Formats: sequence, C-alpha cells, structure tokens
Amino acid sequence: MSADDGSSDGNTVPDESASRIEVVFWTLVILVGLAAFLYDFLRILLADVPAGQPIEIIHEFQQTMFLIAILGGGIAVGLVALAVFQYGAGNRRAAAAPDVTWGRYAMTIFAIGMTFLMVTTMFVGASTLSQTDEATADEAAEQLGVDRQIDVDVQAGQWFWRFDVDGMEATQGERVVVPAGTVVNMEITSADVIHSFAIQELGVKKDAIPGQVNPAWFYVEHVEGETTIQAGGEEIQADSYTVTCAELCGKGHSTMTGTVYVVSPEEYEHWAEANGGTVPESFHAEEGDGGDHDDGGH
Amino acid sequence: MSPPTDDPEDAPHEDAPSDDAPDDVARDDAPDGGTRDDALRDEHRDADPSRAPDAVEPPTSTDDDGGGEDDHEDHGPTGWRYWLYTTDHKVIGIIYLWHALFFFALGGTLALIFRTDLAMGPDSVFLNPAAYNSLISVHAITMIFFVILPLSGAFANYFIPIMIGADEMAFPRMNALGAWGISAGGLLVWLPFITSAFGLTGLPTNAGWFQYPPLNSMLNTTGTDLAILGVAVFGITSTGSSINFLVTVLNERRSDMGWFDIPIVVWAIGVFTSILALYSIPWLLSAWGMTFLERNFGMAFFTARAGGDPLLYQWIFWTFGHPEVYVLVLPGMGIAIEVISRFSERPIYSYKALLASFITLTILSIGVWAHHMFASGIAASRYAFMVFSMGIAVAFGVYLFVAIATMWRGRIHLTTPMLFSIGLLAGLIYSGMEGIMLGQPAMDLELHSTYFVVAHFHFTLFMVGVFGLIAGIYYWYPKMTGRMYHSGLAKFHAATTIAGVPLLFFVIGMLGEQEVPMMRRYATYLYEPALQDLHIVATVFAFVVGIGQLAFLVNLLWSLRAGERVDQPWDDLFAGQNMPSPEWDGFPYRPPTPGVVAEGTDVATDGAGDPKSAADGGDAGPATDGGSDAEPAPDGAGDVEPATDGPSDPTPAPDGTGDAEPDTDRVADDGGDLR
Repeated sequence: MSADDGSSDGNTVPDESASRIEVVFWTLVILVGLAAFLYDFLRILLADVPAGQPIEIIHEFQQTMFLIAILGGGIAVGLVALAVFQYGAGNRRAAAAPDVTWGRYAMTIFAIGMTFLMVTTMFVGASTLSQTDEATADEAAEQLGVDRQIDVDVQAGQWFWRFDVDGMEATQGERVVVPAGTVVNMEITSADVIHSFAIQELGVKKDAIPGQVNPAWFYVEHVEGETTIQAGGEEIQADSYTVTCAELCGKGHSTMTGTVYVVSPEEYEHWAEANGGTVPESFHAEEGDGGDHDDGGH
Repeated sequence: MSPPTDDPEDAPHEDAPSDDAPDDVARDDAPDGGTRDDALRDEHRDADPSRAPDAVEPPTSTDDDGGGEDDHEDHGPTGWRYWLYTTDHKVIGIIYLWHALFFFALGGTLALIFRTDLAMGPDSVFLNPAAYNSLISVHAITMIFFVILPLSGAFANYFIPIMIGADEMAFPRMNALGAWGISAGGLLVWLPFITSAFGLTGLPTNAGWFQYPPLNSMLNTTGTDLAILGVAVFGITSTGSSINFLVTVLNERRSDMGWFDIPIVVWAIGVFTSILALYSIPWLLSAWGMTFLERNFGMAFFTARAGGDPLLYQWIFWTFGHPEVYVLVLPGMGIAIEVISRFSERPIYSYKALLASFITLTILSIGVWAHHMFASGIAASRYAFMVFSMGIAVAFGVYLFVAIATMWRGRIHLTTPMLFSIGLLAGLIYSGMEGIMLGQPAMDLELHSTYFVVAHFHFTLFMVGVFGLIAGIYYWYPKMTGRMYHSGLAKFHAATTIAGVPLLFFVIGMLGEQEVPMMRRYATYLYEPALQDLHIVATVFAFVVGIGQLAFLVNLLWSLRAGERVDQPWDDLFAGQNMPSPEWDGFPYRPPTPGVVAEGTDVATDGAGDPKSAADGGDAGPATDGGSDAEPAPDGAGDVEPATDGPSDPTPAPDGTGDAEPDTDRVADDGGDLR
C-alpha cells in the first residue's frame, strides 16, 4: 500500500528521521506492558490448584476466565503493538485510503461475538456463585456430599476477631480451631464498624457489618499437617489459614489478622475435650453412616 | 492577515497568535487582531502567551452577563486579578489545568511516600498506621476529585466552545466558580496536613476515600469533616460546571453543526461526562452530607445501634461511585480516539459505533455500582449487577475495536500524545481483563479488597483516565500556551510511564494474587512478611513512574517560559490528511469520515500533484487547506484572511495558512516524531 516516493522531493521529512528505530523502540515499550500482563496472568493460570472449598470451585471458573483474558487481552494488546510496528510512520509512507464501507461486518461480528462470550461467562459465573457464596452451608454440605457441619459465630471488632465455635465454651480469639471434613458454617457480624472476614486461601470473604449477620462457609477435606497445635499436652497436626480483615476499619486494620487451624475430625474431638468443650450435635449428624468416629460420645 | 505581511524570519513568532484566528472568527468582527495581539502578548506572554488575546471579549459578545463585565475585561485587569476575575473559558481552562497538575504532583508525592514505607519493611517504618491511612485516603481523594476531574474540566472549558463554534460558555460565571471550587475544596482536604504540623488538628481524613460509616462517623478527626466539606464544595461547583458544559454543547453550537457533527471528544467530555457527573455527584453529596450530619449533629442514618443501616451508605455512595469512574475515564477515552485518528492519518473507523459505545457506557455505568459491594451480603442482587458489569465490557470492546481499526492501515506518527493514547488502549485492555474478573461475584469474593483491585483501578484511572488526559495536554499544550513542549523530556515521560505503569501495577496485582495476598489499605503486612520483595519491586517501579511524571511537570513549566513559540504544531503531520479538526482548522467542520477523506485526497492529488510530498511537509500549502476542501463554504477560516488568498474557494489552491508557514517554521521544530 505504501507509496515509496516520499524521499524524492528533497525535503528532509522531520518525522521520518530515525523513526524506524523509534518505531521499534516504542513497539518494545508497549510490549513491556504486554509481557508484564502475560507473566502476571499466566502465573495465576498455572498456579497450583488450592485445596479447600469454595476456592476449588472458584478456581475452576477462574482458570477459564484467565484463559479468556490471556487470549483476548494478549491478542488485543498484540494488535495495538503490531499496528504501531507495522504502520508506524518510519515503516510506512502513507496511510491507506480507507474504504467507505470497509469492515463494518467485522465490527458487527466482533460485537456479537463478544456479547456471546460475555453472556456465556455470566451463566458460568452465576452458576459458580450459586455453588459458592450464594449456597447456604446446608446446600454446600449437600453438594459436597459432606454430612458434618459446625457452626461458628464470628464477631469482628476494632481490632480483633472473636470466634464462638458451637460446642466450645470458651470464645476463641486470634486463633480458632475447626475440624476438617466438615462444612464450617459461619455467621459473621461486627461489634462496631464494618470489617470483612477473609480467608484468602479458601476463597472466603464476607463483610462483618454491625447490625447485620452475614453467612459464609468453608470446607477443608484433608489436613496436610503443615503445622502443629497443642491439645492437652500433645501436639496434633493442623493446617493453618490466615484470617485478614478486608475492609478498612481504622488504624488497627492491618494488624487485624487471625489464624484458622484445621485439624482432622478425630483430633478435633480430642482438642475440644482438652479445651473444655464438646463436639456439637451437627458434628455427629450422620454418625451412624459415617463411621468416622470410632471414639465419639465420651 | 498573515500571508502578505509575514517575512519568514518572524514567522514562528508572528504566527502564533494570528493563526488563532479561526477560533476567534465567530466572534471577532473587528479585524484588529494584530494590535490586540501585540499589546497583550507583552503583557501576558510569559504567563499565558497566546491565550491572553482571547481574553478580550468584543463588545458584540452576547454571552456576557452585562456591560460591566465587558468594561473590566476591556480594561484588562492585570496580575492576579486577571486570573481571579476572569470569565474567559480559555483562561478558566488554564486555571483548571494548573490546579490539576499541582494536585497531581501532591497526590503523586503521597503515593511515593507510602510506597516507600511499605517497601522498607513489613511493620510501620516511618508512617504509623493512622498516618498511612490518612495518606492513602488523601491520595485517593486528591487524584479522583482534584486531578482527573479538573483535568478533564480544563479541556472541557478550553475546547468545548472552540470545537462547537461557540464564543463562550453558556454560563461564564458559573464556570469561574467551578475553577475556584477546586482550590477551595483541595485546600480544605489538604489543610490538616499543615495544621497537624503545628499540632492544631490531627492528620487529614483516614477513613479511606469511600468513608464507610460507621468508621467514618466514629473517627474523631477534624480532617474527616474537612474532607467532606472540601469535596462538597468541589462537588457543588463541579455540578455547576457540568450543567454549564452540557448546556453549552446543547445550546451554543454553531447553527450548522448537527448532532453527528459534534467531535467525539466533545461528546465524551461535554455530554456523557457531564450527564454522568450530574447524575452521580448528588448521590455523593447526599451520602457525605448524611455522614456529616451524623458526625456533627448526632443524627443517625448509618449507625446500626441508633437504628441506621451501614449498608445504606454503600448503596448511596456507590451509586455515585461507579458512574464517577466513567466520569474519570470517558474524557480520556474521548481525547485518545481523537488523537489516534489524527496521528494515524485515518478518520475514526466508525463515528456512530463509537458514539453508540459511549452511550452504552454511560447508561450501563449507572447500573453496575453494587459490584463494589459483592462481599457485603447483598444476596441475589449480585446476579443482576454481574450481568451489567459484564455487559459493559462489550461497549469497551467496541471502543477498542474502533480505535485499533482506526490505526490499522494508517500511518502512525509516534508523537507523545499518540504514544499516550496508544498506552491508553493497552491500559484499557489490562484494566478490562482484570475488570471481568472483578465483575464476577464468585471471583470477586476472592480478589475483593486485595491488591488485585488496587491494580485494576489504577489501570482504569491512571492508564486510561490520566493517560488520555496527558495525551490531551501534549496534544493541545501548544494550543493552550502558544509554546511547544520539550520533545526529549516528553518522550522520556512517555517511555517511563507507558512501560512503567504496567510494570508497577502488575507487580501490585501480583501482590494481590499470592496465596496470602497483600490486602488493600494495609499499613503493615506482618501476617506475611514475605511480601516485602514484591513491595520493593513495586516501589522501584513507582519511582520510575514518579520520575517520569516529574519530567512531565518540569517540561510543562519549562516550556511555558522557554518553549519554542508555535501555533499549529502538528501542521506538518496533518498536512495532506484532509482531516480537519475545529480547534486547529476552524469551521465549518464535519467529522472526517472515510468518504470525505477519500474524496479530499483525490482533490489534493489533482490540484497539487503528489499528496505524498504534501504529507512530507515539503509544500504544505495545498495539504493543510485540503481540510476544508470537502466542506461547503469555508466561511470560518476565510474571514480573517485577506480576500486575495482565497480560502473561500473550494479548490486546493495554496492559501494563507499554507504559505504563512514557511519551512523555517517547520525546520525549527526539530523533528515531527520527536514530539
């Protein structure tokens, strides 16, 4: 397309001088951002599948979305960079005269295709949401095929977390112990300002709002035993999850963290007894079928 | 006046004011340009070179409120009074511009301070948590209210009348109020930094920029009240400004300018942004007004224990908050598409599709606000807001499609404004790709309130909103000041910013995607000290970006005094494009479309031979004027010119503008692409 007679008229054209190098340089500058984008998003796409719920369900959806984003965003930024490289003034002598009706179909197809894609993600997203945060703990237990539940009342305040676990007399503070293989059903509220209860590793986040009780649940199937906690003089294996506050709540916001320890159901009973509590009824909901509790019912 | 009298030596100097003529034509009946220019140039050249002449309103102007005003404008208040008393839209635009840049420097400095603190260690190093919260809150309030809004206001003020052929804003005094509302509001927000240094008050507000109650109501700081008042002052005045912009576009257009002749940038800045601002700012004033009453008069709207509902605030606030985001990005997007079209030598791919995408963005942006509240227990409302939030992506997609299609097969001049506009496209993509994650409630619950969100909205506000406005500054700075900026510094700014911003914010995003991520607004990260490495990297990039912005501000200030005097800085690039734009070429104007451009190219080819040589700037005569070739009756640019020089004929005869810009002018501009 390009006319190549530009240099013949003897005038040094200002925007032609050294601009081939400039075109390459600026293309590279744009590609720096693209590289950062791809690195960042591919890291997430290729990240290990986390263990626990609802993060695993979210993660499945997330992988799809990040794949779409990497393809879509990568192609789009790539086209921008390609346009700069290919049609930069240093590499091109004249703009092609646009066709009056050129490419209208392309845009229509693009818009329809994108609408279709977005609508698809809406349905998948809605279904994911209904399985995760929209699901009650009962529904979650049912869909996960888990027969044990435990209720935890979470209260936030400036700047602490308080956990009242069903069956435990003592309120637990920064550290709370819950059993694995059990849907942990939380009811979250706040004593003063708005906080937000977050266990990032499990995909749980729910605002703690004064005067309002917000439910949330999570579930860890197995304990991998990355840490240990004390139970009546013995050490038992546990997984730890960091609790953070996810809504600015004042000057102590960033130190308003806590830890959730997940221990195996058997050891949970052991731990509960050692700490002056019992396991709640819901914990034994289907004990007859479960057979997990060979030593239950002291 | 220029062609017969100019000698080449004086050309750059003399041309500067005189070629403003096309803008002034509509209102200047008396051809007294020369003397007026000379007198005023001496007076105001340093501060505001080529604008000063335009400050003089001819007595025939119908938009001034009364004779008294004409009087004092005629006598020309000087010094600070000139700036303070002005109702000239151009001078007000420049007041907006420098306000915005001043606050941009302040807000950016705050960001570097708290980034440094974060990089130095997991615990508080030199900022205690309250001070940290204060800095982030003021950083956000400053950047949102006192940087991006005034910056788009600067262009709205300066260019709406020029681009629609009006002689003034519809309400000049309300306009002036808007300009000084920025100072007043900004001062109130920032004042506590000064008073706290003397121990009179605490630091400024530290409840974050959302100011969620009940935290906001419980904080016993003067700074919170002052921030509410400051933003209220600014909000009220900018509501006035938005009314002004909208009414100006609706009512003050040239009679021959139809709806689809309005330049896209005017649609974006003057219409859609104004509509959204008018819609959204009252919600903000309600929300903050109620918290103000709660804080100071014991009322209870949002305090649960007194019967209020904390969530109510969020509903009201985000009804403001989301359209506000579009108030911040639409101006930049409008400017960018205009710049992309100019510097790609191609008409906008589809004016109407673009307009449709802006309209869709405007409408949908009103319906997505609760995606800021996905974690607050709003139950099934999330499905509805997800649908809107994902749907809005299609409108952005169309915008991007139009922008890339405009560049495609063009001839892209990598000038600084063009580079920032291209950066905006990339930023829009990055922000959008993160946005579709956050628009999905299921994923948002994982990402909400982490640094991923911080990355997302900085891409949106910085790499889209601010990039577009920076592109506008570079593109129109010569128009606004009569001086060219330093091209080397500008390129340095572009390189550091366009490469640095994605690096910075993807690292910030990475901080938010760790297994135990960095949470938003955390003054410390003792729960995960391993995050420090990424914080250090982010801070290094932040300083790279900061140095770029420093170069930007230095460049603008330096150029104000020492920049080369230019008037039509892009002429050599625009030559032969046949793509007029009202701020450079005057009226009549019709947005360039493929049909018009193709037709014009043919004419230019016939008349002057090779269109290529015109594009190269050899003899820019036919090319420059080619802009009006396809237009009927070019009365606009013609009037000022002596009759001999024939801009009134539709043939591409070399006319005043072309000849008046001898090569000396162009040669002095060392290099098109260096800009």
